[in-house]
Amino acid sequence: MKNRTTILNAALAAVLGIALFISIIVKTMCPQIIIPEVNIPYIAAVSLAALVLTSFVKTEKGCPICEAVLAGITFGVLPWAAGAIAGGELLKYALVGAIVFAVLNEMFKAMVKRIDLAGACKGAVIPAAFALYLACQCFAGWML
Amino acid sequence: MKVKSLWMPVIVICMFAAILFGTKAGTAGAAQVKEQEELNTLMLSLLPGSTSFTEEAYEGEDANIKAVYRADNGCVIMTSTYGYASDVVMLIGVSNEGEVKGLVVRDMGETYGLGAKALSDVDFLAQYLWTTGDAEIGTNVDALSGATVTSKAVTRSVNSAVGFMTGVDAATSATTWGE
Repeated sequence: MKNRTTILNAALAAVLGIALFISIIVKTMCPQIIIPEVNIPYIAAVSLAALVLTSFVKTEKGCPICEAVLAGITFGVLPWAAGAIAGGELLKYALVGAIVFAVLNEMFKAMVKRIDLAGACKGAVIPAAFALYLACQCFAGWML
Repeated sequence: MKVKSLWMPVIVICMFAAILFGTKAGTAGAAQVKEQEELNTLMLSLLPGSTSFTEEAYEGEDANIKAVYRADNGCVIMTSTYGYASDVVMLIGVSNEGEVKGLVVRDMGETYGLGAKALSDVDFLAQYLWTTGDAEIGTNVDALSGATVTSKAVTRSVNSAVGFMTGVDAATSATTWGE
């Protein structure tokens, strides 16, 4: 069985990398399409997508601090490489990304545990993640 | 926890960083050309009757105005005002008489399902057509339900654009909540 940190952070980098790659292509081909900017709701959506994907894989217990640090690196480096943020903003995005990811990771783990305990369908993690995303974007207006 | 297990995510991050960097560099030229073409097409439809546009330096005090493109029969003005969660960037076509001829939201990151409706809600945006700088939420413009702050940002943009044409420059871009 793989370590949770390995799977989760690899999934996070893959989800964010693919999303940013699609953004670059769409921006080149169809500039009239409005592409979501990298902000707290965007970070939350990517984090939750990675958490949902990982929840379907059986993993060993990981290290939450390592997961947050790696998430910070992911949210700093990849948007910068894609030209979505300036070089000077890299640290800010890394810090915000690490915090948002750490909070969502803990909340999501608690939700998955409750879903498992209740014996509910495994797919229930998807609406649970969507509810967390909606909560995040409503708070973003106050926090930014 | 084994340090070995941290290598895989780091390799994936580096791999995607290299791909993104390469793709961005490779498409930069094409993206710029395409964006200019799209801007020209959009401006022609926002100010019917215009044939060509010249970008003009804006030296007024209104911080909402970001760029001015002048044609024979009016201007297309790019504005940026802060909404609920992001800047709302708009292109507004205003005739020489100070009448709004067309408007479009060009960029925004407002709340999905609420403020983001300002992008495509034709009934909401159509209320600003033919206004002459007197648009006001609650008076002659109905706000989007659940998105009053975004609606006010759009209103400030429209009034700033008309103000530029009529010579009544607004001096602030601050978001005033609840007003």
